[in-house]
Amino acid sequence: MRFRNNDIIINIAITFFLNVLATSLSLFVQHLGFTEVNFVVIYILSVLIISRYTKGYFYGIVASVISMLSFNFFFTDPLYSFSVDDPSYVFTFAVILIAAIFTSAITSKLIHSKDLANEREKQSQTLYQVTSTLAKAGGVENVAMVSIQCLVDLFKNDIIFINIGHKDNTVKEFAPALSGYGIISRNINLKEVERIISNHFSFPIIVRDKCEGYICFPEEFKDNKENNLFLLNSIIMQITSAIQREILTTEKETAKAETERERLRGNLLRAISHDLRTPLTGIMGSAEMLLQRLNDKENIRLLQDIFEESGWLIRLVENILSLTKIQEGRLALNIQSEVVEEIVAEAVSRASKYTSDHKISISVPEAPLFLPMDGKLIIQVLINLLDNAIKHTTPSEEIAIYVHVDGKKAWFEVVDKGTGLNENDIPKIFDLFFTARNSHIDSKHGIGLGLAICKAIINLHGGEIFAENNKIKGSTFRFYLNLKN
Amino acid sequence: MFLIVEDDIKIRKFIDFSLKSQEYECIEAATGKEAINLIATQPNLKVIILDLGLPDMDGLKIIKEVREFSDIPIIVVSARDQDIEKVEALDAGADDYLAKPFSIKELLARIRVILRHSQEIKQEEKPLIYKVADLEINLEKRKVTIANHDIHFTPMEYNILILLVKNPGRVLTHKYILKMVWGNYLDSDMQSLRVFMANIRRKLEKNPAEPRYIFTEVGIGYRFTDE
Repeated sequence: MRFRNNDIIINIAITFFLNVLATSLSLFVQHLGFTEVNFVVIYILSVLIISRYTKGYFYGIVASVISMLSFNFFFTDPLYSFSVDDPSYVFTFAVILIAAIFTSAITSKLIHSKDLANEREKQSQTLYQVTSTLAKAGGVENVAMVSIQCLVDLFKNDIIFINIGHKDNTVKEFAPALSGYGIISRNINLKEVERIISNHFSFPIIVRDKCEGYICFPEEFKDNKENNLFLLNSIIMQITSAIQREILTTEKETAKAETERERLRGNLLRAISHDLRTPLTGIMGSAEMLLQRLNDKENIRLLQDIFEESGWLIRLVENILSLTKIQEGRLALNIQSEVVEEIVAEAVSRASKYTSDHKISISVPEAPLFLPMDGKLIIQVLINLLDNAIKHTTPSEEIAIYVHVDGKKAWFEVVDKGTGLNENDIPKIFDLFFTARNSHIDSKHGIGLGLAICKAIINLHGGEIFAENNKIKGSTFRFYLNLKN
Repeated sequence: MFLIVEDDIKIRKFIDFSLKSQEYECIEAATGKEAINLIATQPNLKVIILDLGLPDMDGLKIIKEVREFSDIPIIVVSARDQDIEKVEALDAGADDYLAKPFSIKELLARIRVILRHSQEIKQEEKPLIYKVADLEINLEKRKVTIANHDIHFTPMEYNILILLVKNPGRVLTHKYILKMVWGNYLDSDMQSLRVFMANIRRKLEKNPAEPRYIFTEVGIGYRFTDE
């Protein structure tokens, strides 16, 4: 309010001083013997100058009235009184008053327009400065630093920036240092955030419906003129878009790094699977050679083990490879119409490749059954189910595959007459890395991949897989595929 | 004499060892260049066993190059489990393929099939009657019987069956069968081939899922038994 008082005093002083000056000048001119018209011009000039250097219409009008009165007082008969002898002076007074008021009004308006233009220019310059500074800032924290520095420079006030880090769950406050130089950041908790927001004039920064932080101005900014609010809103928008830009950039970089990492991992796994095959070929080949040459039963049994275990190992590598693809979500199905009997035959011949003694019986529909599927993957499912059955049966116990059509579904069943499943395990049996406890065979072979992969593959095909115990002995795994894709 | 082309020395040695145990003579090459030199200079090569993944050359290129000047049977061995590569190798002129890890039994069986096949080509006398287990096919009379029971085949089915029977033990790619039986074929004929095969199998086999005569190489083609 002190500012206002000062303004009024200065304005009154200007008005008073210029009026006195105009009167003195007129008196001087009169002394020189000039006509009255000149006094009128001098007074109107003084009103013009007063309007220029004071603020608002008020002083111009006051100056006009005072000028008219001064003219009346000093220059019309009777002198030094506010009355006039010649009635025509009344007309002169009126003209002076009107001319003076018009002049002051026009001048004030001009000045007001100029002020407005200046204000706008200052705003756009401010905005430009904020925008260009923000454009150079990289990283959300830098944006916060830069925008605070900018706002503090502009408004000469303490302004606080609160950044909410959603990723690492930290909240940071950026505020000008007490010394007045630079910005200081510190971690704060949510309680402090609430406190700061409640006693400041705060703007939330919202990016994609998520609050990324707040910019907090001192309370008195709330009472600011409309113009300033507009400027504040514009600046907040600039800061918001800078933060959005930074968030998007970070996300993009993260995604890129993630893709690269997955690609490397995929390559590594493919290389491992490829490189494992070569030595395994050697191991299996040598074991096989020796098998044909040896007669000693004990040694034959050992070699048979080497041979079979190598086979399991290959199967395991294939499963790991499929699992990676499934987990990376990039197992693209190569759907083709396949003849079911061919798929089943291939699966059976490959499942029994490394196990000599088990007999697997097969039953498929009379008529050729064509099904849309990724043949290789369904073969893998059947092999995994058969391997599982082989693991849980002795060679004398039956294993069978049935395929039959029911409505719009083709059902595949792998039935064994082996040890059966622990009822408690059934709900979890298709979970990744689940292996049945208390099973001495599982502890040897299973790492709980096979069934999880079966489920993933069947689900990708739009089918479902189930496990249950048979009424009499052993267990059944069944899944269906849709007849039409 | 046999040529083993394989960059992994252990595999090369064990193939060599198993072939020698069957009284086959062998020479070895570790690179594609070496292999092509040997094939060009060795006059009495009988079979080439070729690993597709060689350090210096693509195995497919070797097959194509060899086929420009020689008909020597080629058995491809590959650790790659991409069907498309196997099909490409077979279509480029390879006679058979084995995926790693393979068993020696399988390898020796393939070699026997190929040797017998090249023997038959040399003899140039084509048998008129094929007999496999219960199955008997009389080419002259176009008659097929199983355990002396006549079986009727449509002309198309018969042509496919004969093509397979004439190449026992060899995998014939879909493309090859289509080319030989259909002549000019469309992609859509692939589906017809599978339907024909399913029908043929139903007429020949007791249980189509436990085939005795015609085996499917899923994604590649069909193979007639070599027993």
